[in-house]
Amino acid sequence: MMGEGSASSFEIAIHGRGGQAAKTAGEVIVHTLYRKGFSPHGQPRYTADRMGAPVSYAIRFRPDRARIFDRSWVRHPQVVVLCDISLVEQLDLAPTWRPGITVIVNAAPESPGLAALAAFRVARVDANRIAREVGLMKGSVPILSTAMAGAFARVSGLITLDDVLEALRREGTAAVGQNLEANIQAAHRGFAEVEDPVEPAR
Amino acid sequence: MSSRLAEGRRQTARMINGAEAMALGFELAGARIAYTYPITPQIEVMETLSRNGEIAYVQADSEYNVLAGAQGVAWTGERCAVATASQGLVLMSEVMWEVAGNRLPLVMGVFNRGLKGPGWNLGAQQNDTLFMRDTGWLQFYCESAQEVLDFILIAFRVAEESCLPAIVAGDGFYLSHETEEVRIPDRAVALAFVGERVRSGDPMAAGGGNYGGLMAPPKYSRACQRMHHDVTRVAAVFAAAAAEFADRFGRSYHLLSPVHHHDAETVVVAAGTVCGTVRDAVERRRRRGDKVGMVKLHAFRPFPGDALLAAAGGAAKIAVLDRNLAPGMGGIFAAEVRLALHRLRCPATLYSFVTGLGGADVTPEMVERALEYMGAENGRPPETLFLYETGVEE
Repeated sequence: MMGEGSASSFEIAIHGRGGQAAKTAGEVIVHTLYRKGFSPHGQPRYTADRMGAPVSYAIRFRPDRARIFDRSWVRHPQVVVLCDISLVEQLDLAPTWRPGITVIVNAAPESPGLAALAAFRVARVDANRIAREVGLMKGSVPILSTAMAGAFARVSGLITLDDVLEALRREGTAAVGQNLEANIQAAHRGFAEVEDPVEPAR
Repeated sequence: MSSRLAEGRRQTARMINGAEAMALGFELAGARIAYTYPITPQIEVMETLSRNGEIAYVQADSEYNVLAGAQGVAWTGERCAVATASQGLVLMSEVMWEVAGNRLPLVMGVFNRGLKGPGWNLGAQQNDTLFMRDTGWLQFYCESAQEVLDFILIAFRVAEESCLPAIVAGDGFYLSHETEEVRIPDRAVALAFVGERVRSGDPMAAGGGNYGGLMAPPKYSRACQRMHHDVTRVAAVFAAAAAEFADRFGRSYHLLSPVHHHDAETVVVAAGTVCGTVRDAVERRRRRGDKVGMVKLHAFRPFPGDALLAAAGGAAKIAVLDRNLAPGMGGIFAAEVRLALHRLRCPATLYSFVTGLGGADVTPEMVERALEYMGAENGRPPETLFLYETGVEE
């Protein structure tokens, strides 16, 4: 799982839209990796911060747990957490990803956008539905951070669900802390409901 | 293990970003007042300080008044937290001279950000702090959130002992917003390190008097001369403070840090977060057998020219990566290095690469491209080169 981007580093990219809590998902994963003994860097990317605008968060760490030095933006993620499938087309993301990388995507079954991800190892989870059902909503926008973090734990195998829950309880950001129980439920369901990755089409 | 190090090991490791690390540095140094005005990417420093119930948090109506207010705090002998960026720092510039001229030991945190030139810019660029080059403020540059916290503490010691204000700078977003592990010193040990406020050199130590009025040229010129000498003497003050810091907390700092420099034929010099990227590129090249080294510059004022050439002067080629530009002159750190080479009659060939302006990303591959360019060129290089993802340009 070694990347070529930075010397033997592992890179994760999280994409979402303002309001979906993609950055919070990144913070949850960063804190969980840290609790697991890795030394990650979490890179929030700031553009025009407003509801619906594309936002992203990247993480870089070394699987051998050594310290990271390079701070250039993550460009070659091995795992992508995609909160909104429409971003693939809007930002033309697919050509920037190496074929065969793992994409954990929030999408309903049979979502037409999935076709654009055929070159990747895709793990689908309906995080919108999970967030709606556990009551994590900001107006009409589902808050996806913990459902996606739960799915990430299952698919990546880098961290366990318990690690995520522990990080939420101990280091939860203010956003998560306000609604801790619903977030814990969402993490459980994201972990349980994410489908096994579909290998890329040959 | 010395008992002090054992004491210093009572540090708490936490995942925080550089802005929080900066705010923590001020808290640990015993600042009881924070003067601020919101500006990206410094805002989280403010927010963190505003949550500290023990700090009087004052929001001024502009950065000009932030520094004017903070100057007043410094006159009373209190420690004050001040942080800004970009336009905010430039708006302070008139007062910057006065603070240094009055020899007030303020410490200011800055997250470097491009200035409004061709357009607004939010990304990292060091021209805001480097614009303050001639004010008399000391300038330290950081690579990590840990260094931001540590340098705020060290800067208070150095500023108060040398009666000179100090800027602690880090690249905006790359440092201000990245989350990483920071070891946070125990509060009592941090305060013991920073020490009691030294007042013997303060203007107020001599009692009352009139300040800020017209100063006759002979007195004015002597005051400037004294400030010049005191800035150059900071190297020794810094070394003593850093030695005690290492003793207490186990982290060792110098005005510059060389890596793989002993046998290096080519040395890359940089300051700020680009150093981490350079380090990756240098390690890659080393694995291929290339004799490449690097020097990370922590200080711009005082500029450690002698130490730089002691570390890198044996190399045939020296590259300087500058995330800043003085149009018509080139990279600003490179100009300092060029001067040191000339003064010490060092025959190394200097390659000045300006890169990453306005927060443009600098990657290990780009640093390698610069090294390849240097390897292929044997003549006298152009004074200034621009390094992009697409390659090297004049």
